[in-house]
Amino acid sequence: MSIDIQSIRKKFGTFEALARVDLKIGSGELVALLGPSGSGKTTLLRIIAGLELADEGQILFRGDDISKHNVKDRGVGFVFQHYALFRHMTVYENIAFGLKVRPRAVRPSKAAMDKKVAELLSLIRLEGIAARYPSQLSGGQRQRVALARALAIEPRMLLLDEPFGALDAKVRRELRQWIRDLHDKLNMTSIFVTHDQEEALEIADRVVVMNAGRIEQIGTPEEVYHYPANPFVYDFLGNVNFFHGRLEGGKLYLGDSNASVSLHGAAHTAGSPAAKIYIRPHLLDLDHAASPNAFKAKVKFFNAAGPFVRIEVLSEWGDTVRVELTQERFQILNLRKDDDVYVTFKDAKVFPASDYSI
Amino acid sequence: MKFQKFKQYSVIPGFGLTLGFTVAYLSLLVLIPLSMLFIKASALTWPEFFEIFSSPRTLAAFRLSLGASLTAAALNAVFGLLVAWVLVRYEFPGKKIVDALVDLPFALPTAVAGICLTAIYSQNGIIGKYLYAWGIQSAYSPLGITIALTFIGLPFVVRTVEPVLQDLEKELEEAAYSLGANSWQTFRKVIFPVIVPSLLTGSAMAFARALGEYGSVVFIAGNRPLKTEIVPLLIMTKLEQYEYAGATAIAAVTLVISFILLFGINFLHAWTHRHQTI
Repeated sequence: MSIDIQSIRKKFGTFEALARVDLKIGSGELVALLGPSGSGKTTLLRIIAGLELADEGQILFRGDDISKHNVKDRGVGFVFQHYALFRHMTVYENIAFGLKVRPRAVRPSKAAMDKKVAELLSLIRLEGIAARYPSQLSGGQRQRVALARALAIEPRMLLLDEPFGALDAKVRRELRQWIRDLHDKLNMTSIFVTHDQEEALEIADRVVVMNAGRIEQIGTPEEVYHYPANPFVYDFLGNVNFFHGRLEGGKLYLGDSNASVSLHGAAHTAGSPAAKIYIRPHLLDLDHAASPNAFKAKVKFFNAAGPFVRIEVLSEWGDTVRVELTQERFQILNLRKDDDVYVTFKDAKVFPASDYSI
Repeated sequence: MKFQKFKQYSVIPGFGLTLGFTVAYLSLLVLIPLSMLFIKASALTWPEFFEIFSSPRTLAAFRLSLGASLTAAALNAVFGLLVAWVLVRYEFPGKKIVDALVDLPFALPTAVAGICLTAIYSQNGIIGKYLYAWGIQSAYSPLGITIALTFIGLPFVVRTVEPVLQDLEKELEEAAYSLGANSWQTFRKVIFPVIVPSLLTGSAMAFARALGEYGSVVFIAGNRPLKTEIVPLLIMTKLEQYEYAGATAIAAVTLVISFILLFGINFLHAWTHRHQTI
């Protein structure tokens, strides 16, 4: 089901949680609301669910304005970060809760309920635990039960609030992929909130990057990662190096030094020559030999654990620069601590200095 | 059978000292005085014991005390829960004062409470005169006793339920609502089961307190044998008549009843609470 969010505003006291947010979500999409804490992403999700009412603006479900409907009538499945399972009920009772509380006329029979719960348990791959209590389950199992409970009412959409937030890293990765598969199977419009960029980029169809109650960028994971709209998005999605500099005669001067690099494709539109340069660690390269496009630096630290080698170098003007090299490249360079190296740019993003500050 | 290690490692020392003190303290204050009760009572032969216990006066006193205490505990369970709910859920002017009022029955000397209640609920009292006009005898009657016992038991339920209500995650209610439950279903199926254990504990304490209450009741009770004479008063009367064995026999029975009830309710508490820890 499509969702149309129109200039939603929400204040908590004097704190503006959401400042006129517009967002359209297509039917069957899996959308991630990504942002730091306090960015308003959870508030937006709760407003869509009806757990919170917006001060201004409308929400349309498939064209119908449901802004004034309460959560009970919106038919949304909501999954909470801390599961919110009913502890005094078994897994069966938890999952069947949404069916049992229906008015008698539309309440399924006991047999139909049994069948539904059994289906959902097989969907979450937890057959045979119907009689257990939440306290007897692991975190990942609890979250899957919470999901089954939300799905039992056959919701029109699924809303997940930091669904993997309370889980450890390995379970998190498994569950993340599983949610994606489940979404493809059910083809249900789903929105999930996360502060983990990796999570959002990995499973979402579209990512909505939020900051301070505003949407900074909406796009596919590739779009927001490779073509960030502004420094905030660039910084939030992955590691980034940041330099002050100035643009003169097509050349980029870094720091207050005379070290300069020429950049192709680095758009710079502002009138002032002052610039902010953002570059991801894997878009930098190191070399022993000097070149016109490189600046000099000293190796301070490296860590070769993992698929990439993470290196920190200190530039001549005193900035610490993070570089990521492949294991092969690192072997060839044969770097030692305190070696002098030359840093070259493979690509960078230049924003006018007045634009934004992080 | 292998026994678990008695003393477990702990960062803070003093296990031996504190446990030793606890045992000595409880023995001096609770165990020795209570065992004296049974020793005294054992001076009676079984037939004598049964004769005291089965006398109409004793039976009437027990019936009255147990009935009034149970009624008071039940009233406190319902209205104490309501008070706790209001204090936790809502903000209103004067909330701090209401909060303090709840503790007043703890702090007030029971005799003062008894005199106040009698003054209000007797035939000329400001509430009593209306009740008597309706034909309700609100003082010097089992009703009066129940009023006094409800008064002194009020804080127990409120103060045991309050922290549990406070800790109740808002998400549980939101989950229930989002699954389509209405307010009543949410309360009945989600909130109530969580607070039942504390409600039971609070009611049990209110009941135990009511069973032994003396000071606030004697003024409003009227103290007519067979009609409005409670067990603690009967014990006092027997003591005043130098019937020590009789007094201790009744006291011992009261003690056993209290103990069985407390034990039963604690068991019930553990049972209702069995799945609530995550």
